[in-house]
Amino acid sequence: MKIFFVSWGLLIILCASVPIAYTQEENLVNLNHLRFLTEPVSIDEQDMALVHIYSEYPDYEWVDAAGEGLSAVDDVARAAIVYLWQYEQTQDRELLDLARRCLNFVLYMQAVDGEFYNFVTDKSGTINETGGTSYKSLGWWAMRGMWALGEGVRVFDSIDSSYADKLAGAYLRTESAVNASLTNYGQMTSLHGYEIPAWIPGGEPAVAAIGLLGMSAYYQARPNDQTADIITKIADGISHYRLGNDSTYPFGMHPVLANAPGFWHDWGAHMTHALVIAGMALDRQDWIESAAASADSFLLRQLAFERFRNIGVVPDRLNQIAYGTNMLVLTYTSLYEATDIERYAIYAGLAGSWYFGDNMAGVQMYDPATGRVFDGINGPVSWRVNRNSGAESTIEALMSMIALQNIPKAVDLLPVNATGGNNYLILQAEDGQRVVGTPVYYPADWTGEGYVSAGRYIGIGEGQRMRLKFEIDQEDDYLLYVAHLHQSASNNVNVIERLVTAPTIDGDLADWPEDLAALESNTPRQFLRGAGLWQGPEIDSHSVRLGWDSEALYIQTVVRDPQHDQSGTLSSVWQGDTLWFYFTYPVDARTLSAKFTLAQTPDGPQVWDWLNTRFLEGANLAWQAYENGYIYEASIPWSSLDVDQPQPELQVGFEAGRTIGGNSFMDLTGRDPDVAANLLRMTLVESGGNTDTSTTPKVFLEVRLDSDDSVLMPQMISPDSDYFWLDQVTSEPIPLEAGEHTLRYEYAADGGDSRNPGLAKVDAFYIQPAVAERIFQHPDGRTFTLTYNTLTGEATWEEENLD
Amino acid sequence: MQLVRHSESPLLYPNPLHRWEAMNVFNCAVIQHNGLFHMHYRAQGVDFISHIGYAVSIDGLHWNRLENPVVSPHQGRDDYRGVEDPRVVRLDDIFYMTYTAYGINSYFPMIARSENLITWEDVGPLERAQNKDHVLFPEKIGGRYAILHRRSPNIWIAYSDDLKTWTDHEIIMKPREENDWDSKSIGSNGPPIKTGDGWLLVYHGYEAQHIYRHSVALLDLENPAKVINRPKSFIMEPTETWEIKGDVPNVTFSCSSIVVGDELYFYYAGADRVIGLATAPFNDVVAFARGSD
Repeated sequence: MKIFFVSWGLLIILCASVPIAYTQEENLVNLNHLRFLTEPVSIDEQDMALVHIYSEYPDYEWVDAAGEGLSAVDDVARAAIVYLWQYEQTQDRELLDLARRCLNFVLYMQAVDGEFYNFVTDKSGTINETGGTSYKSLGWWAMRGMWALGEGVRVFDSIDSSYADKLAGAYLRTESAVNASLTNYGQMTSLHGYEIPAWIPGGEPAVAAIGLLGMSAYYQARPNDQTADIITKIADGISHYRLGNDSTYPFGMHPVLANAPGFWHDWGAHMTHALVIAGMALDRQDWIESAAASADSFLLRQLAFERFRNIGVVPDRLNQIAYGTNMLVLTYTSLYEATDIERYAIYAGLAGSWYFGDNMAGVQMYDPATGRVFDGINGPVSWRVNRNSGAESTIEALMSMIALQNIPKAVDLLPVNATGGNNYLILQAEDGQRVVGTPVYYPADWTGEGYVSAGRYIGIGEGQRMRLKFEIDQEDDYLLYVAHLHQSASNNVNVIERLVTAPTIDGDLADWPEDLAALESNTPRQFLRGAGLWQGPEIDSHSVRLGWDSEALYIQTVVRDPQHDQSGTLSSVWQGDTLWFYFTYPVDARTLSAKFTLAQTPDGPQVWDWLNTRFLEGANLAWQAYENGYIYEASIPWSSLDVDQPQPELQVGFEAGRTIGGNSFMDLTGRDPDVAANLLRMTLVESGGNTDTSTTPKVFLEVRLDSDDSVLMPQMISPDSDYFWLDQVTSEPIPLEAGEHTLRYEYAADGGDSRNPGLAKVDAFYIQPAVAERIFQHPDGRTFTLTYNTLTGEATWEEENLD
Repeated sequence: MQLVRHSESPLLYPNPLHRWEAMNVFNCAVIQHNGLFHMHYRAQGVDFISHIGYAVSIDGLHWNRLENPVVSPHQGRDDYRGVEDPRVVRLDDIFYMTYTAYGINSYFPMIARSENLITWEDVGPLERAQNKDHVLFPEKIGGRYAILHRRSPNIWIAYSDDLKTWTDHEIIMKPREENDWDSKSIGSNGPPIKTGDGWLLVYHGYEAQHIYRHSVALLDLENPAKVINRPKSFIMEPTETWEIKGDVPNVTFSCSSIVVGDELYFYYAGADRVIGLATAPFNDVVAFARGSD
């Protein structure tokens, strides 16, 4: 049970003449810059509007960069929402006209199946149909389009019903497409021991949440059973997918990806916000409670310590932008609207204070006098602020201002600045001094489920010990966490058998040994992206069998897919059905030694080498359709894989994946195959050799802080694949005095199998005050203190007037 | 012709235990002297103010770093945001460092001198104007000091008798609008290397997407304003994860290339975060610069 109290020290409101970020005479919402970016155009004799994407300091003229295009649904759809929302506040018909123009553009960019393209490349409306951020999909831009259409129907229903009907028709096309993707409703995916709803569209709760906002707006205008049913399914999924609590990672978050339960980024992360909006639309208190639970833990953590841009598994605060801030503001303003609980108005104000200078750079980001919003903050100094003012920043900030403007308690807090409090430390394990032995230093970045902090982690083996000295600024009770790898039981050890006779590459697999083990990609957890599009293993899956001899690596892949679609050749095959292969040699190489695709093209079978942008030298491919899909059979010469002498016991890294639509991708591990460290470890063996090379690694880590007793971390073995996680070393807070401290960490077991040596793989240590405290100063002299007890979940807000 | 990344790259990472280099270590100068490799590198701490650190190595791969920077902001408002991008030459038994001072009124190019590579003394600015990527030739040309610099977006040359007054500024190379990698801006990397065919200049360029790539040109030995040859293609571009992602994405940036045995050692920063090394047979690089590869 959370306790929240406000203690009003002195309820004296001073009429002090101190500078604040804007004046009361000034409106908080200024659309001038957005209007400047909005250019009326006529496309196909329809009045529309483009929103120019970039506007650069210091003159803030349009900058139309080459590449992706001139204007996008991503921006125009959100601009439409801004115009609609502010029209509702002001009844200004000009805003309604701008909204209509923007909505006409959104309609123009919709495909007949309800999916959307994103960019136009010129003012005559040429659509970029193939760009990586523009192809027809049901992803980010489609959901933003849907959000705008839903809001459009809601607003225009009482103004222009025929236009509202037109918008509704388009909305329903996209809703129908979303509905068709919910085939997995009710199924759960097990990943790392967590039960994750398998039906969240696209496998991306962040994307689905945007759609949920559109559906809720539409439902509000035109209640109906189908929309209610889709909202219920998606909101149930997002609501269920909240993990951890105040002190247990991931601290009560709604993750942004279905296949990355420990990862969250603030960019467009409307999951919590959308649950509130959907909860209000369908009167579902449980969704609002799920949202409140996250807002009072995971999101509150960012107000009480500091904002971060992403977490997974340690927080990173750089690259903060309005796009991330708005999500936080809208979550709290909507919670305030849903519950009428004052703390949410306070939190909304604190979140919104980022725009007025309460940020790590101390720079006012939104200027109500011009309506411009700086594009981002990438460090705690003024010169790390990007002073350009592009469309996305402007639109997202205006959404915040519109939502805040009618909540006096929130508006009152916009000018506050954090002037004190405590914060956490992140210590990189690889920066420790080597006391005994030398650990393995692994370079890494995105793992497919999160980021390795500072680009490296270490593997500590038998007899190895490290020491790390650090300083604490203020005495406090701290919680100690370690970010480390939970390693899979088998550590992905697999074998490739030598083939006595090389198969003929003809698409007929009869000349392959019958008993070769297959590597299967047939579960939702094997999606790197887009699990929500999956219709099951009978419709989309693939099995890979491998063999070798002195000349080549042989690959056969049986793909289950009812329809083969490939109209491209050479490097354009990625747009159709393609099988992707990734290879490293040596097995621990930091970068891929080969990356190639197998594709049956109009010009015949092609093996394209993506590292050298040419056909893969010496590769041979055959393709054959069968009843439920098709077969690829290939031989890849070792020379093309950078292997000089293939022989038994040689280990290589390997991965095989394919898309099933949109930007989805499923492979053998579910991890990002462009990161070499993520590949499967494969061992060459003789024909009929021992195929059981699986060994469970011994993962024991002992941690000691100063002269305290050491703590032996329980062995962290993953039930499926390797993944980093943030685990508490001790559940009890540790009192630390200000000054220097020493953290010691060592491997604490006998070594493991030679093919799978026991290593404790550690990224970082996270040392966090048990009770977060943040002190805010208001320009009028008032001081506020926010605390958040991460052990009990209690939060307090105290206000006093020092005058 | 492409440079090959050394398998041990990146060689240098930020050190979170030192506040001044906790976030990024990047653009570095490396010279060989007395059998050792000496590195001066730009570093940023949690405040993102740039300092210049020093490291020493016996093989050019494994480095020992000093605990404190050797050059820090010291000119008040003129460089309070940092001292950046060192390039070091040895000339008449004195070491000269060109670096960029970043202050309240943007940035300007500085020159400093040292006799021991650790303690540095300012000589003065090349000019008090927005200019950077300046690097001294390792010997006098026609009896005068010669320097390459960048008044955006071109590479310029200038001369001086005393390192304080610079004259005869002249553009020697411009971006090539028709070329797909250096169409917007170019700048010098490290000190030019003297060869029998001319001064080998390694330089960087970028296009509309601001992807930093590198190539070479040959300059006339006696009149380096004269470009003997400038191949159209590049020899290095960001491809590794640590070159594409970092503090500033898609940037490989170099302040030094040196000849080690028969190899060109190209030290560079990956995405303004870490320091790496790429190499190539020196003769191949010169042949490429000549246009006879």
